[in-house]
Amino acid sequence: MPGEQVREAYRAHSGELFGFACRSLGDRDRAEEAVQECFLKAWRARDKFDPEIGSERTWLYAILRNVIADMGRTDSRRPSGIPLDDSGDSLPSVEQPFERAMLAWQVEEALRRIGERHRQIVVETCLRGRPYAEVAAALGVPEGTIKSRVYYGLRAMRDAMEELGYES
Amino acid sequence: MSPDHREIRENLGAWAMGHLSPEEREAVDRHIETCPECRAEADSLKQTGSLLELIDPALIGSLSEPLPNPSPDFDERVMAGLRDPEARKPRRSRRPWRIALPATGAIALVTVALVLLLGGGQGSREAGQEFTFAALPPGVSIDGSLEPRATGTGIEVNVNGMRPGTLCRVYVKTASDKLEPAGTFRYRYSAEEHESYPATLSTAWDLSEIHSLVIKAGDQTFRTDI
Ligand SMILES: [Zn+2]
Repeated sequence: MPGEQVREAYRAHSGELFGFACRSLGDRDRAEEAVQECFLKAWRARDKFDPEIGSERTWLYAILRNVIADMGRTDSRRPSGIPLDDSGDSLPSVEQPFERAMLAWQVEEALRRIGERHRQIVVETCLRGRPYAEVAAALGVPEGTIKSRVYYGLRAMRDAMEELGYES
Repeated sequence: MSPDHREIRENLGAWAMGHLSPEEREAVDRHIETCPECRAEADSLKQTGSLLELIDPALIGSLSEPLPNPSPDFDERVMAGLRDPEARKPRRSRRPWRIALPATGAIALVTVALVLLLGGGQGSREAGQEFTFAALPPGVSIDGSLEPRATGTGIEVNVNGMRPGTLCRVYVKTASDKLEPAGTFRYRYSAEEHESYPATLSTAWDLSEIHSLVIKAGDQTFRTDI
């Protein structure tokens, strides 16, 4: 990948990656640190990027994932004063929550992408569990309309998840 | 598409979420038994719907709000690191690389604060200015340069010999004696390449206004003048 493409990828994806880092680390400064490190790593490894294997976006998420996992390892060890070495690199229990956090972030991002109209319906009926009749009354539309909007809202979600690289 | 089929279709979202009345659900169940197309759609929407369980209920109210933004100079800082590495190579190879300290915990688990006084007042500073730290623990070296930019100053820091992963916070000190944050970096070291990586940061202060550079990485303080 030429250097310019890494800079281009920064412009295209850094906002989303930063959002994910904020969610994962719960801290803006640390999120900045993670995203900066992610792109420096991407820069250094740019010749190894293979579009046959996955998209540029997926590649960046994979790098960020490792950066955040490393930061978690470093930080969790600090207070206890355990030295950092190579023997403790595998913390399997960390893996699962991380994958889950990443997927949760994709779902959140998908919800942001589907637009207010779809989002409103999905949020009210699927996330808040409000009865269709109540939502229909609030919006001044027939109940059947809410049903069909749930259908189109979920379809939009599915498309957005696919766009975000989610494979069912 | 039969009218029946179409009506069923638009119920598939509510079906997937378990929101239909028993009668409506039965109607959908009967249809998808014989209609592979609707069956596939129903299953796929059910899977999409199940992903919604991952959303933290505390976030629901903020889904329409914009995401937090990084600090204003963040883009510039990152972009500065995405430059042709040839420009940085000479400095990287100027001194022999030292091997990272063994994992004794002597350095990296404590905060390091480095104060660099940049010969205040004398001499011209139009060009970039290099710095080197003295009086550091054995095996540790820090040097780098300050480069004037159109707005503010670029800061490149080369650290060697700290424990990889050590977090370093960089500040500049101006005439007011106040510490102005210039960014953070983690000390990185490639064991394969026996090479450390320079950190590229920046500050909005002009080079001529910077009296000293401070790097904190924990609770221990290293100090050096130039
Ligand atoms: Zn059908």
